[in-house]
Amino acid sequence: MSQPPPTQAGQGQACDERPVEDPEGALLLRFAQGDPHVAAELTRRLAPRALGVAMRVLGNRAEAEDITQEAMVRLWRQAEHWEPGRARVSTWLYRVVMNLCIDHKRRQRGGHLDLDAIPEPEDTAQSAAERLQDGARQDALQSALMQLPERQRQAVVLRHIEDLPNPEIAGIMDISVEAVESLTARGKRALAAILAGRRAELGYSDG
Amino acid sequence: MVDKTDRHAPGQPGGQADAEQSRGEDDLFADALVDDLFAEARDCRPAEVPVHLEQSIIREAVAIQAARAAAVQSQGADWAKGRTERGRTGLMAQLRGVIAAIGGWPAVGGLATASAAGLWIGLAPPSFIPDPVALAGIDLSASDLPDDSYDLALVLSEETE
Repeated sequence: MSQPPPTQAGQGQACDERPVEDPEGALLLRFAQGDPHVAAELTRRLAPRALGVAMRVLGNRAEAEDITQEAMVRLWRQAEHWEPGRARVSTWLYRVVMNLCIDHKRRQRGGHLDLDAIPEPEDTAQSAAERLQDGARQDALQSALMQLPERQRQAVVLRHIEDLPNPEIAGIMDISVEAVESLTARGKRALAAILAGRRAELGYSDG
Repeated sequence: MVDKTDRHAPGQPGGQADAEQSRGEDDLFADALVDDLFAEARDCRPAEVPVHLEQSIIREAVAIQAARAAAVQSQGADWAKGRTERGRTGLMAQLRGVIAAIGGWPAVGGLATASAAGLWIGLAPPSFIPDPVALAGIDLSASDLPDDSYDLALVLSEETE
């Protein structure tokens, strides 16, 4: 699958014509020109981001590693067609990872995945939070995330954990900024409702 | 871990206003909890990529780079080969084919000689062959020919005498 570069503002948004600053883009051009030394540097910069976001979205480390490898291979193949200044390499990579996650979930469900309607059952045996070694609180967050519909979870992870601006998320998810705002707001409210009953066990007390 | 107890103590139960206030504070608690968890999740980044995965990704990169370099090299060779093959399919190539079909360059030499002899016989037939020009009732002389045909007219007049 050839993945087109995302825009910075998403669908229907006015694009900023200024070239984006993108150190990874410069490295990718050197890679395309045959420089043998940049692949390791690009991997060091980008693979952790791809793996982190895939783990949060899939809730499974082994699957997230497969997705990360596939996304990076697509990046290497895309290198010779890369258009500098159109989008950041990291934005493109996030987009590929998100689409691969959706495809993966769709395959798991026999070809059908309603992105907005299906809460995700948590894979308790191999939860990402467990693997992240971040204890019960991150476990609880991951468990709550997995109960969100797919697109809400993606938007929430990109906004609140990857800390990306809404226009960039719009480009990654191929939706409008308003849709991103709506997804993240609803997702955060749903998380708060899910976690409200677990305040005490998460170290918050009322009295 | 952050304890929000001191910052957001919930209201005491009792009365609708208290209930609404309590509900609002519950929301604040929940929002604060989610924000704290998000902040902790951000601190967990970046995810640690296992060495085997990193090595595998880099190996793929090297393989793709090598394949790309080989393809570029192959394209260069194909281009040069294409030029040669294009030379073999043009007008000259067709002419070479015709020459080969009639027996090569020696045959072409023979053909040229025969053609020249035929032309000569046509213009200056031997005495036992009727002159086609005279048969046509044309009185050919040097004055009938253009100036730039002087040499040819001279030859013709000499031969027909």
